[in-house]
Amino acid sequence: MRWTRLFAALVALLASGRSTTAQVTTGRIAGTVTDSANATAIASATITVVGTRLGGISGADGRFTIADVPAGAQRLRVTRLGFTPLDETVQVTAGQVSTIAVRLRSAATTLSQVVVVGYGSQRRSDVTGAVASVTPNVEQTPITSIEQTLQGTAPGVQVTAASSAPGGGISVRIRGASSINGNGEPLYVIDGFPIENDPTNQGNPSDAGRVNTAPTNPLASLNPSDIESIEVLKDASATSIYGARGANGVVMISTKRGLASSTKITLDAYGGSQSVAKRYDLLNATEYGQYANEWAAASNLAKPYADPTSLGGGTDWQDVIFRSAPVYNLQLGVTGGTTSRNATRYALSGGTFQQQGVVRGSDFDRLSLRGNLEQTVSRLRLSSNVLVSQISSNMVPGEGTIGSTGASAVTAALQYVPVLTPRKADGSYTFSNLDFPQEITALGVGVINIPNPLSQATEVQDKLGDTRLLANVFGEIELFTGLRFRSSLGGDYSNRTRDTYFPRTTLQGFGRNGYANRGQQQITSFLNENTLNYERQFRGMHEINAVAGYTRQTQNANRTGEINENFVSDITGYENLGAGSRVGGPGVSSSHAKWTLASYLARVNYTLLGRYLFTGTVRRDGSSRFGEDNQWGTFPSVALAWRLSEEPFMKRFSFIDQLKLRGSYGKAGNPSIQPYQSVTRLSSGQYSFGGTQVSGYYPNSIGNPKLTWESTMQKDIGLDLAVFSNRAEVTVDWYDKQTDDLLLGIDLPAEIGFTTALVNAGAIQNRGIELGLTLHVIEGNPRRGDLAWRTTLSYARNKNKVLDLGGPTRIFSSQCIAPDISANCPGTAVTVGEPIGRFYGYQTSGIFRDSAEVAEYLKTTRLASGTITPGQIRVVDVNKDGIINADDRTLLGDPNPDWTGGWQNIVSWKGFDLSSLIDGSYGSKIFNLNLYRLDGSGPGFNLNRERYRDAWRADNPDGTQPRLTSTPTSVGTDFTDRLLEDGSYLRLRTITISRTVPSRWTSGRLDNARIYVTGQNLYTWSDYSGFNPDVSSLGVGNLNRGIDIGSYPLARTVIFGVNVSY
Amino acid sequence: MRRRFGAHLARPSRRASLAFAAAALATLGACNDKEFLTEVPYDFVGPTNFYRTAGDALAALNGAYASLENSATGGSDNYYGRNLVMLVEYPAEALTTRLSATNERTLTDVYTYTPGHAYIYSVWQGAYGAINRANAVIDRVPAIDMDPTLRGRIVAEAKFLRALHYFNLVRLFGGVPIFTKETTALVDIQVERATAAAVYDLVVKDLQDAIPVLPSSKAYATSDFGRASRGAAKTLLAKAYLQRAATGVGPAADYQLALDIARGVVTDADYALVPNPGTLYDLVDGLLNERNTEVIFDIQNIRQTGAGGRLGAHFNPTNANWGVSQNASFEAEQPFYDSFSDTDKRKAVTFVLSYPHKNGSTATWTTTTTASMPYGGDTPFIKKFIDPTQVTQGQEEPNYIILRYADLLLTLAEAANEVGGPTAEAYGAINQVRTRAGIPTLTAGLSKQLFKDSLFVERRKELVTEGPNAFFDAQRHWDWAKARVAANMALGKAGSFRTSKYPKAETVITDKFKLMPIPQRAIDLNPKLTQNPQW
Repeated sequence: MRWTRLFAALVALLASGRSTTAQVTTGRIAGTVTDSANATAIASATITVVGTRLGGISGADGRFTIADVPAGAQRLRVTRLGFTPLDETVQVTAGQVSTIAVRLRSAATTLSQVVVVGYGSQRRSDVTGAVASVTPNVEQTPITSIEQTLQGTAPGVQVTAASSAPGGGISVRIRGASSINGNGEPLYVIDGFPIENDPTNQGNPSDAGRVNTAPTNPLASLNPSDIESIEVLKDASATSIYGARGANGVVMISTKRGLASSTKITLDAYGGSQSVAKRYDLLNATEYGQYANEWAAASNLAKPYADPTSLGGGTDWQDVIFRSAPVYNLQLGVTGGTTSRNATRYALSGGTFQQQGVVRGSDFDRLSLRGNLEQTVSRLRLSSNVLVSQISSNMVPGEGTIGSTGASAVTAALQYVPVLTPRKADGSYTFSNLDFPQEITALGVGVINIPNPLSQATEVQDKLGDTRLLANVFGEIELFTGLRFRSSLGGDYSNRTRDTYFPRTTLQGFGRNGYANRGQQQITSFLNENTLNYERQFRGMHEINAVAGYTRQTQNANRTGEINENFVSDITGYENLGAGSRVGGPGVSSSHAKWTLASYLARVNYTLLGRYLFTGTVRRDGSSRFGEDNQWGTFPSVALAWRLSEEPFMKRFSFIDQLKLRGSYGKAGNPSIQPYQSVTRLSSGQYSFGGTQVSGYYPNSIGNPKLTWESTMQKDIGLDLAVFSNRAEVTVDWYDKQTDDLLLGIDLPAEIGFTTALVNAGAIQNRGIELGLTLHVIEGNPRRGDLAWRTTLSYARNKNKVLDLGGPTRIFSSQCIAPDISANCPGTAVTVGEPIGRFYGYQTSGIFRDSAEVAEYLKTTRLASGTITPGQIRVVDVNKDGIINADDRTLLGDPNPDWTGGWQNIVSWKGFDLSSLIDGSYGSKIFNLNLYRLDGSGPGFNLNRERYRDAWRADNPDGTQPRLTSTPTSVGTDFTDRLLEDGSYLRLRTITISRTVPSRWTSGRLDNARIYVTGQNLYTWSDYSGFNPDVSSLGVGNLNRGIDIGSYPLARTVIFGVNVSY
Repeated sequence: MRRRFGAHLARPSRRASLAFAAAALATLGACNDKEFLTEVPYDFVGPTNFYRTAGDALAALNGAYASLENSATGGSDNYYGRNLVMLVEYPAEALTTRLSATNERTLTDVYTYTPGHAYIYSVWQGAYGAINRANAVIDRVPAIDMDPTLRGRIVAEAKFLRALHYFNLVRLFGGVPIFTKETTALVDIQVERATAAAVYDLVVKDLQDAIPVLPSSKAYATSDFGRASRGAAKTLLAKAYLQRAATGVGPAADYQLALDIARGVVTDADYALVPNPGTLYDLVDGLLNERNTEVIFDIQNIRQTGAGGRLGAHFNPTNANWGVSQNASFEAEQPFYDSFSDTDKRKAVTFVLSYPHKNGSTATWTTTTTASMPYGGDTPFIKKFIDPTQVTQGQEEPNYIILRYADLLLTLAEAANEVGGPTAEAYGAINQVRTRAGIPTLTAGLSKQLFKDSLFVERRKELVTEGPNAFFDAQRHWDWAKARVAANMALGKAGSFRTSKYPKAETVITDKFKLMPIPQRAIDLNPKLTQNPQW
């Protein structure tokens, strides 16, 4: 393999760099770091000699020393989280010790933070692009997955839950959806290692034959407690350094590193309880009996129940499958290091996280280990990061289906009638198709074959495993002053398994004597990066920070799957596939896909006089996934910024601390082409000669050597402002993104032998504004126990518009083959001039109060089939052709919100901290498919209580709900706007009260001890009738967003926790 | 003055250091980015890892044959799986459907189809998909290092298949775009229609290339049974010459060419009529009859998913206990059924007069049967390709016959009649078919015209639902065929026979119906295509 040769060359290069080390005349710097406010020592401050790799870390007493500093005037940069970085000049004399006292100003202003950008880091005041920083305060707001930290805290970042199950999928959109068929998720960069989170690519291993399950979260294997900071790169200036993969934005994740000169041990532990935050309000058995009687009477049938009240409350199926469930987390960390000339720094941590789901039978366990080790040897710095984690979770199968044998436990619980009990007298489960009450089946009511909710939740074994190893090693050497060379080698290995078994006690396993399905997926990704970094100041006027590099990445994905059925017994489950005897033998499948990426990158940051900033970036990516003729793409960007506040004429506005105008323009790509899409494929075909089957191959898909990335041009204009001694900080951005060359399947002239091909056509636009506001309302010194209150608001609006579809003006999601839209196959359409993925179906207008209204309606409108009775919903003849048919389907609501936002508060007083986060979204619509069945399909199913109570009746012609005895609309089961609901919400996502334990209680043996209690999802203000308005059951793609199909309910959680450090 | 850090480095060394770093980066970069980025397929077959061995050549050819089967481009029903057969057979007066007036099948039966008709486009897709597969073989196999005899045969078989598909297209649509190279890139994908003459030239050329190379059917090994043979290529060529002349695309001299080729097939003596028509069709008598002396080329179906037939389910009566039925689509028109004399052995082979009903009884057709009775149809269903032991559509055993010796004999008779009137040779050929059917020989002394009329009646009776032939036959005897359909429609309108699904007013069959319209979808996707006259 070529890698080895590359690496050998790099090692040689590093070694050659090292050989240039020689004795020089140097001195030593010794100093102290203190808090300017109260003169207390500051530990863990990082001190670097600017332009060198020399540096140190302050100890618990605030002291540090740096040896071997070249003689002369040296600039020291002192940084510490929570303090404004400070540059100080010190004169170093050969063979002597120069002393310095550094006083840092405590100011957690965002503008002074150091932010991680691609291939480097910058002070925020020097950043020319749109970069949002999130410092996850995991100790105070426990989360299970890193994307959750973005929710409501980073403007322009929309986070939705594909599933609220433990470890469930989360979908992130930065500045809107800019692809139709491609991946919409951002690129994640974990400690410099880019990870493409493409759910359409990763999928669940070998799902064939299994019921739908909402996508699981590929990033769930990372322990949030290990994360130091998250930066969201949004505009082209920031993202184009990731070239063909930057168009959806980039999320930079940095894990914690060793800091202190002395060993520090931290322990974080919490435990809590979760319960279902909201339920559907359904009929109990008595009400159900009344409903069945009413239904029968209206249908001229005998009443099934003489006395419905004798049925009592019956079974509350939501009670049966929901539970209150515990969650635990334990995390132990050790950090430390030496401050000697050849410093060693390390950080180790291990954690265990266990969560049961609020639906019985579901849980999520994660074990994680992390280690960072950094060693300085003269001018060579070596560093390694290793993350290991193992996830083992049990899923409740069937999110994503409504009314079939594969319905989820949740949808089944909503549909199962309350007069059925979970089990029969003999202990076996009831099944709706076999055990339905005879009183009802005698009415001739259709009963759909859906699984028993309890058996579906608890008997089905559906286990997901994910073992992940992410490791990164780099060496960095200073070739000469300001010029550093770094070479890194990283690997990401993920082994995912999904093992499912349906025993005889479940509906799916019942008929086939057990059914097992196993799938395995190994993804291995290797990355080699080589960069040259140059940092230099000239004459105090010019500052240059440049990087150039070459990188290569290879990823291999191997998948296998096996199925078998007809097992002798259920005892061995999926563990012994050989015990089954499926007709035709066990089913097996396997696949292997590989992609490679080679890239050249360069970036120059130039600052003139500390106020005029320029950034130029270019990346050239070559990807195996692109067509042969278009394998290389260049992604440039430029950005300018002007720090007005540094201009002399601004000095009189002394209340302005920082004022910066930014503007950027550039290009990034979305490479969401699956491997091999650009090449011709042969398919196998069968024929026979002499009565014997023969197999053949024929060209079945036409290659497109021109196939290439989707390309996004983005303009961004922004402003950063801090006023009144940084008491108020504002960041505003306006952006306009246009994505061209969308990947679209087009129809070809059939004469060429192929009917479709994937091409680049079409365009989509996202425009919006983002606002971030931080107010230090009361700025007391927390160390003295003063009252301090900080509040942060984030707000973002995005307008999405499809500009071009390469010919057609409207296309439909392939998940739903238009125009045959049935209720179980929701209709969304992509229409030129409209936001992506708008719902598509029949429009309705109220209920026919009486036969006169029906007659009036029928004067101008006729039905393609069927009749109308009073109490049904009026379907609008949208195209006004006098007939209600499929042509009347039209665009309905928009699943994209008008705005999203968040409001965060942190109040500190005398060792107490109160923090809260409220997030919200406004203007989106949700297609609630759960209502489809609860909308009155006859007493074969249970009913919404409101639907029953407020139904139209002859004696209640003003009922707000349609009549009970026939399909609610004349278009039958088709998709109407009745199933659309307002998805706007405001949610109290977290609220935490914590108390720092006074050191006298611990006799000073502990550095820090804190106890806290946190509530999550305590309250949601929303009109949405389902479990969770923040839902998108099919939501990993951009087409079918905002759809709720049997979604896993949201949990409300209360957690008690403790943080201790020693 | 103190020396600055790094100043100790001599300039050359510093420069060398930088140069080394730059060189290292450049080396890394230049080191075969192209090779690094080349996509290697692992779990599928692509042009880069296929077409290398004799086995690959055979597999590519199998893939071309498979287009006759379930895997036709665009869907298994698109081509011979259903739509071609229905599109060609319904327009004649022999068949009707029991389906509603708006069903695609009815539309072709009663001449109310339009350029938007789904079957027309799907046949277009299916035929061109098949052509591309044949082109892939013809383009790629010659470069494979393998036994030259086998290589030649493989290419010749592919040429036979390509000729068959273009012959279907030119008969359906007239001139169509010609592609003789495999499509490997999305360039020049919109091509104008060639003339019908050019398409025929290609058909003739391919068959002339194939004939000297293809083995006689008798020379094929048992395991190769079903491959295109010399006789199949000759028979197709005879039919192509005949069609070309009769539709005015070729000169009258084509009749002589057709006659010569057909005579050659007789002389080769690779084929002969089977004594009893009942043993022609698989499973009609419960036996597999596919390896008989009469079939010249048929689609090889076996009871395997992907390699089995799909038509049987369309022949199956709805209520028959014979597996899946797809609407019992092939129902005889009453006058056609009535035209069979009771002594005609083909009557029992062609029509299902009784069958085992799903309810256990036997459903029987009589002249008073209506669709609401257990039999399920007004008139008898067609039997030829029913698979009574079928389990799933797509796994049917009966082979679908494209060419057989009776067709060749009738082709010979037709060509002879066109060349020199009803000669003894013409009579001899048609009478072989009639005698085998158990009906009297054709009256001697017919005029050329009457002989032709009789011959076409015979073709319909002998070949109904096979080939398919009906619409293509009609093109060669257009006014006569038109009149027969019109007469049938008039009878149907008058309610004279119960099969009628005809609309209240029968369609006037104008001459535009002599060709199918170019599918509207094809024109939408390729604006260079022109529509046929009057469509």
